[in-house]
Parts: sequence; structure tokens; C-alpha cells
Amino acid sequence: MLKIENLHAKVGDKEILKGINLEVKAGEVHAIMGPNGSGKSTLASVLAGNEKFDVTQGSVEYNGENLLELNVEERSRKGLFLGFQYPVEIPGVTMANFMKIAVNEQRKARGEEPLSPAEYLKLMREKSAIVELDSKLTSRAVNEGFSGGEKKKNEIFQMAMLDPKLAILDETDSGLDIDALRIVATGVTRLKREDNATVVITHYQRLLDYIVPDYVHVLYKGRIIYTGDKSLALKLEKEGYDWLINDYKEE
Amino acid sequence: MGKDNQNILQELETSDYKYGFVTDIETETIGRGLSEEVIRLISQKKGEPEWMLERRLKAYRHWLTMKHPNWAHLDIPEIDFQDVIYYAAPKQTKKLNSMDEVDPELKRTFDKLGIPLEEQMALAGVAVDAVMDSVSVKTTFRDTLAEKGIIFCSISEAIKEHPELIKKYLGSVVPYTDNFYAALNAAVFSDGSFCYIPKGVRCPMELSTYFRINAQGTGQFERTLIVADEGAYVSYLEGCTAPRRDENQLHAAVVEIVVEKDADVKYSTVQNWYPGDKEGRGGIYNFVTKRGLCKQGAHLSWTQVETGSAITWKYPSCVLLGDNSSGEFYSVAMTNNFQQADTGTKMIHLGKNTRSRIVSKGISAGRSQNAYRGLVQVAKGADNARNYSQCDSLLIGDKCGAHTFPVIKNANPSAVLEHEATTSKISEEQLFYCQQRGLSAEDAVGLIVNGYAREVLSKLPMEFAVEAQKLLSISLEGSVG
Amino acid sequence: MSVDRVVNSVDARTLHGGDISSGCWVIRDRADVDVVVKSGERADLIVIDTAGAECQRVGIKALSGATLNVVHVITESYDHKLDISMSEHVEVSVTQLVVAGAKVNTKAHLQGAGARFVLNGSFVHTDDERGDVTVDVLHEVGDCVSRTAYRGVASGKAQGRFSGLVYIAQDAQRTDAEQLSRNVTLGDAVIHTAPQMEIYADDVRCSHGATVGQMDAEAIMYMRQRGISAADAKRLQIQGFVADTILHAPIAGCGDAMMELLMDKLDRL
Repeated sequence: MLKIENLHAKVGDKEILKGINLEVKAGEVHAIMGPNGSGKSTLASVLAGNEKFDVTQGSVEYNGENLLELNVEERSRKGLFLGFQYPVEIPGVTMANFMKIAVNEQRKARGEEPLSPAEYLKLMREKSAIVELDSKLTSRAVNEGFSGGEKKKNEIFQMAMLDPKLAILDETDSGLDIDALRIVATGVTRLKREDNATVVITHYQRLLDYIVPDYVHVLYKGRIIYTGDKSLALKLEKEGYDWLINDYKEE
Repeated sequence: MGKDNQNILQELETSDYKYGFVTDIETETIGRGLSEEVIRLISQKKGEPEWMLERRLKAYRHWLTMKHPNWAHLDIPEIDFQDVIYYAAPKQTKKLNSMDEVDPELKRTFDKLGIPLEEQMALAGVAVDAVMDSVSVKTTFRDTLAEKGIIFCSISEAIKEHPELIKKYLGSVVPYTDNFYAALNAAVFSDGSFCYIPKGVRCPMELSTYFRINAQGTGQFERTLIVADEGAYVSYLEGCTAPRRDENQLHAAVVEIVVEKDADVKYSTVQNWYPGDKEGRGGIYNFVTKRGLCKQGAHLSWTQVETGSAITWKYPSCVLLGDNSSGEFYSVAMTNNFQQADTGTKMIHLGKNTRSRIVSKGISAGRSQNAYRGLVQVAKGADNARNYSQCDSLLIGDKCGAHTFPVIKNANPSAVLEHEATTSKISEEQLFYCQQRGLSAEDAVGLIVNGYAREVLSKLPMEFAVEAQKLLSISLEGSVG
Repeated sequence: MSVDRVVNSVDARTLHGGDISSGCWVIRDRADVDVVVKSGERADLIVIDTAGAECQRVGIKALSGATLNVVHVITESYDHKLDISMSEHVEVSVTQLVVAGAKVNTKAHLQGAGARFVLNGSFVHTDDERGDVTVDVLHEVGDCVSRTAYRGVASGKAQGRFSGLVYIAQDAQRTDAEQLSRNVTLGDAVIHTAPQMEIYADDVRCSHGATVGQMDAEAIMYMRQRGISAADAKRLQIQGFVADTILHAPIAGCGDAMMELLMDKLDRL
């Protein structure tokens, strides 16, 4: 589904991604871990198409298409979803209204008719239940006054509403207490299917207890320096990154 | 410097004449009142070419059709324009024999400001045979400028020596049609500075009105024109911290600055209009039109520290005509006793990608009224304009007023403009803290006020900044009771 | 687009002037009305304008300790005046929505210590409407608080003007006042904004701000990632910008109806 080759990207004059290679197939869950500043969020932003970053080298193929040629909304309409690390507030725009427009854009891209108000309402109720999101929040402005946990749940709610093919979750677990973590993680797992894929960017192993990854990659200074399976995450949790980084340095 | 007085005097006389710094010494003045005849006389006495007289007359005729402007917040008494003398030769101010004859109040101010004795004498009008330092300094800097092709002389001289530059630029930024006082000034302006920096030249020193010997005899209707040609740079200082004693009630000056493509001009003013007395009587009405025109990629920065005055009415402005041009305005306006200040700036965004920044700090004490009036205007075609304005007021004592009247006029959807203003007083905690460390209340206030004004003061050229700080402290006198 | 639906959405009694006690009241079809909110009472008031009228003036006197929420909806392009006098410990909260090229003047006189005045307003001008909105907050005595926030959007060839005055009298010490004017222009529209402060007391906390075109770029990115086009995202953001005022309107129930009214207008941007 996703094939990244030798991806280099910079912001301003600073190069952050220094040659990423990654392949994600349908049905898979990949975890990306790494110390702060390694470029995890940058990778997520670059894949989503944030214009703040410049791709200087490399290619990204998404379902047979050149992803880098598409703009942000085009990528979204082709089923790419980014769960933001810091979801922003949009004053005055209600969640319900916002999602209605987004859902109908996706449908339009697929050649489907927009949902009727009744159908939409039903969809909203169904999906907010998945993440136990208080239905009252849908009539509030997007993320306005939401607690950290509510914001993250809201990201997963949106993911449920939009049903993406590739979901990139950027530190979805940061700032969550145990209960919220469980709810978010369960939500993600319930959305997992054979024909979609998930890339989970995380700092902590605990999320991966719920969202079991097929592959765990370690990102360090703009490169993926190691790939393993879920046991790698456990090891990193116990021993930190030093052992890995030292090994990498010696090569 | 090893030369005897006689030689120096000779040099002084001849060099002055050569550079035309001292206009013809006349003993007669023209009677009060204004008419075409008076204007012809003025032009004749200055020995101006015909084209200049024509310009004056055109402005005068237009002025007759205009009405005096009316600003709500200032208490301006009626000015009788026929009761003003429009031409007085830069008269020798009454010569005193020694510093002992100088008003002690004035002397005290000089001392506080740290002005060297020779300068004190010159400023106070004490007769001296020669002011040695001034001569040598003057000679040196004139040579340096001449080498680079920089012209710095009086407007009167420029009209005669550099007519092509005057014809091209005079009135190009503030035409006589602009406002009532601009028209009056264009008709009767007495003298002022002219400065031209050639293409690509960076003026190596700060140009200042200090260097014009008859600065103390400031005309009422001064006219200044500064032109920085493409890629040039100049920093110009106006004013001095020494109090200006002036019988002239009315000052209607015009300052025009042309900043050609990619040039950079910095214009700093430190002015202390020393009002007659604590009751606010005998003060000066100061109406100045100051405007800069920025071409492509040009940059203009206005920095001013003003204190005193009876009524000041000035809005240095930047017309950001060229794409990618930018303007800045930094101001500290301090009022005490019964003073009134109405200052501010206008930033007019016409070109694309223009930027402006305004930082205004008002300090009111005593029974004074301090108003900021600003305009940020973005024209329809001015894509991507950016402006940030911050106007703060500090009130000392509860009998003064601080007012802020910003206006934003936007006609372009891509503009991003932001204005913020806060008004506050000196906090009790800050005062107590300083006093607990041994400072007197007055010193504490002075310290806090300087800190408050720091952002603006830091924009001034070094020597000016030091004097400005002292000036602020002095101006606060009597405000802390 | 009928402004009636705002009224119909709440359970309110029509007021022709005189005393308000508790409950929800509506003033409509009245050109000149004076109303008094009795001491200690809590009331909600909806003021609507009338088609075909030439002007509207509503004067409100709130006596000590009263609490009043006002929703003021302006859909007609004539002159509107809202004049509010407040005694000590009065709390007044006004939400004002202007969706026509109207002249609207609101004056709040804070005449008793402990009074608190809050006004949140939005204006939307489209096509070639000319709007003129003034808000004057006069702190005549000390120890009062005021917060004024106005948002404006103008599109097409419309012209919007906002003037706000915060006046603090010499003895009005310990005043706490804030004023904010935020604006967005589209197309060939023009907005003039002039927030003003006239301050004669020194122990005050007073600030104002005015912005034009300040919109959060991150929010646009967020919406685009959810598949909304850049143009639609911008439009949505601007709608949200104005709607934010309504979402926080103090009278429950009429919020939705006002939203509809607003959305109809925003579709014309």
C-alpha cells in the first residue's frame, strides 16, 4: 500500500528526514518509535502533505500512485488519515458540521451520493460509541475546550467516520490516562481490517499492548535504524534507546 | 588645536560662507502678515531663482482656499495668521556676556543633561570668540561627506547649488495640496536641511542638525528634504535635548524623505520643547508634517522621543509605495504638568508584500493629556500587507489622561494586521521594591519609566539614547508627589 | 429568512416597555422602547428589528443587583440604538448579530460599582452593504468590569466599520476593561476599525486589540487533512469565526435559530 524510498525532507534549511525507507502492506500495523527529535512527527506531516516541509529527495508510492504529487486534501480523499499529535481548535465550527462536510467529500471522491441528514446522524451515533465519545461534544466547536484525552478520542472518532485506508497516528497516546488509552486503543483495533493499514507513532510501549504491531521501527536522527517485531518495543521500554544507538554509531 | 583664535575666526567666517550655512545677516524684518508681496520679498531676500518663487506663490494661492484643521482632542486657541512675522533673518539671539547671565533653570538643565560647557555657551547665546571644537569637527566631517558625494547643506543653498535635485524631489512626498500647514509651509518656508546620499553609498556617520551652526535660530517654517538614492543608507538625527527657548508660538515644519529602491533611512528625533512655565503658559504649538515615501524594497524607520511642548501635532508617516518596502515607527511621548501631546503615525500600504511596525509608548504625568492617533491603511492592491502595532500608555498620578485612537482601514483580503494597546500605571509593588533597595521614589519612577521606554530607546543612535534617558528623567520632575 | 424563528424557538413573552421581572421577553415591532429591570431580578431579553421600520431605539435601565442577558438581532438596514444603564452589581451580557448593512449604536453606562458588562457581537456584510457598528462603554464610576469583543466579516463590495470607545472617567479607579475587534475581508470589501480608549483615571487595567485577517493556518491544515478543499476550509473557518459568537449566546434555545440565520447570510459571502 505504502512504499517510501530514500525520503529526504527539510523544514527551512534544516534537513530532518535523511533517507527513510519503509514499506507498509494492507492489513499490517507498523509502529514507529524513537527518541524526541528523531523526525517521527515530521514523517507523519510529510506523508500528510504539510506544505511547511520540503521533500528534497526520494519517492512515496501509495496504492500505485505518486503520493508526493497530490496536495493535502487529495491525499485525504484517497483514504490517508493523520491523527494529529496536537489537534487544533477551530472556533465556531461544530464537530458535527465539520465531519459532515469531510464525510461527504470522501463520498464524492468515491463517486457516492452525500448522506442524508438522518443517515449522517446515525453514522455519528454509531461511530462516537466506538470511542465512547460524549455525544454532546459533537455540537461543540472542534476541539474547543476539549481535554487532552477528549481531543485524542476525537481523532479516533474522526478516523472511524472517515474510514481511511491508511491511518497514521502521531503520538495518539501521549497525555492519556489508562482508561483513555484503553478506549483509544480499542477503537483503533476495532477499525482494523484486512484492507486497511495503520502506522502508529509512539513513545511508549503500553499502547502497543492493545494495538499489536506487526513491525516496530526505530527512527533516529531522520533514519530508520532498526526494524523488529513487537518484542523490540518491550526491549526498548526496559532498556531505552542507548544500546541501539550505540550499535548504530559503531557501524 | 594649535591655531590661534584669529586664524580660527577667519576660517570660521570664510568656511561658513563657502558652505552657505549662515544665511545673509539682515537686520531688517518684514512686517507682520502674509500676502503675495511678502512672499516675493522672502524669495528675493533669499536670492531664489524664479522657479522657486513660482512654487511658493502657487502654494500660497492654494493655502488661501483651505481651512484650518480641527482636531477634537486638542485645545488649540485660534491662530491669527496675519499676526505672525513670516520672515525674520536668523537674528543673532541676544548675546550674554557669561554663563552667569544665563537663566539658572536653564543652566541646571544643561548640567543635568551633561552638555559640555562650550556647547552650553553656544546654546545659551553667550558670546564667544570661537567655539574650537565645533570648527574642527565641522571641517572634518564635511570632507568625509564630500568624498562620498554626499550632499548635506541648507535647503536655501541646495536650491541654488543643486536645483535639479530640488526640482525633482521637493514636494514629491508632501505636496502643497496635502494639508493646511503643508501649503503654508510651502509658501513661506524659511530654511532647513537638505541631504542627498548617492546610489549605493552608506553614509559613514550620523547626520545631525547639531552640525548646522544656526540650529538655535530655528525658523518657524522649517523645510527638510532627505533623499537616499538606490541602495543608499543614512541615519539622520534631529533635535537636541537641550531645551529650546523660543518666542515663536507657531512651528509648521515639513520633513520629506524619499527612500529610493532598496535604500534605508533612519530618522531619529529627540526633542524637548521646554514650555514656559509649570502652568503651561508660553508654550509652543508644533505642527509638523513628516512623511517618507518608500520605493521598492526600501525601508524607513522613524524613532522619536518627545517631551514637553505645549501642543504637538505630528504624525510621521510612511507611504509604502514600492513592493516589499517596510516602515517602522518607535515613539516615546512624555507629558507632564499641563502639556498636551497628540502624536502617532500613519502607515499607508500601497505596494505588495509591505510591512509596518509601530511601537508607541506614552507616559503621562501631572495634569497632562497624551493621545496616540494612528492609522494603518491597506489599499486594495496591497497584497500580503503585514502590520503589527503596539501602543502602551503609562499613567503617573491620577490627574492625567492617556488616550488611544488607532484606526485600521483595510481593503485587501490578504492583509494581516494586528493592533494592541494597554494602559496601566506604575505598580505599587515595583515602586516598593526599588525603594526597599534604597532608591528614592523619584529615582524609582525614573528607572521604571526608562525600562518601560527601553524598546524605543534602544532604536536610537547611542549618544542620543543616553541623552534621551536623561531627558525622560528630568521631564518626570515633580510628577512624583 | 425570517427573524421570527429566533423568537419562535424560545418561550418568551412580548414586552411593550416597562418593567421586566424574571423570565424571557421579546421586544419586536417597537421603534422606541424603555425597559427597566427591577432590582435583583434575572431576565432574558430578545430584541428583534422590524421590516419596514425606519429606526429602532431600546433603552434599558438595570437596577442594582439585576442580571440581564440580551440577544440583539439586526436584519434590517436602518438605524438601531441600544442604550443600557447599569447600577451597582448589575451584570449585563449582550450578544449582538448584525446581518444587514445597518447602523448600530450600543452604549453601556456603568454607573454603579461592581457592575459588569460583556458584549459579544458579529457583523457580516455582503454584496454592497454598508455597515456602521459602534460600541461605547462608559466607565463612569470605579470598580467595574467590561469586555467587548466584536468580529466582522465583509465580502463582495461591502464596507464595514467598527468603532469602539472605552471611556474611563477620572474617578473610575480600579476599572478593568478590554476591547477586541477582529475582522476578515474577502473580495473587494473594505473594513475600517477604530477601537479607542479615553482614560482619565490611573489605577486601571485597560487594553484593546484589533486584528485584520488573523486566522489560524493550522486549522486550515487540519481541515484539509480531513479532505476539505483549501477554499472550503477557509470559508468554513470564516463561518466559524463569526458563528463562535452565537455558540456562546447566553439565552439558551435561540442559539440554533440564530445559527440558521447566520448561515443563510454566510452562504452569500
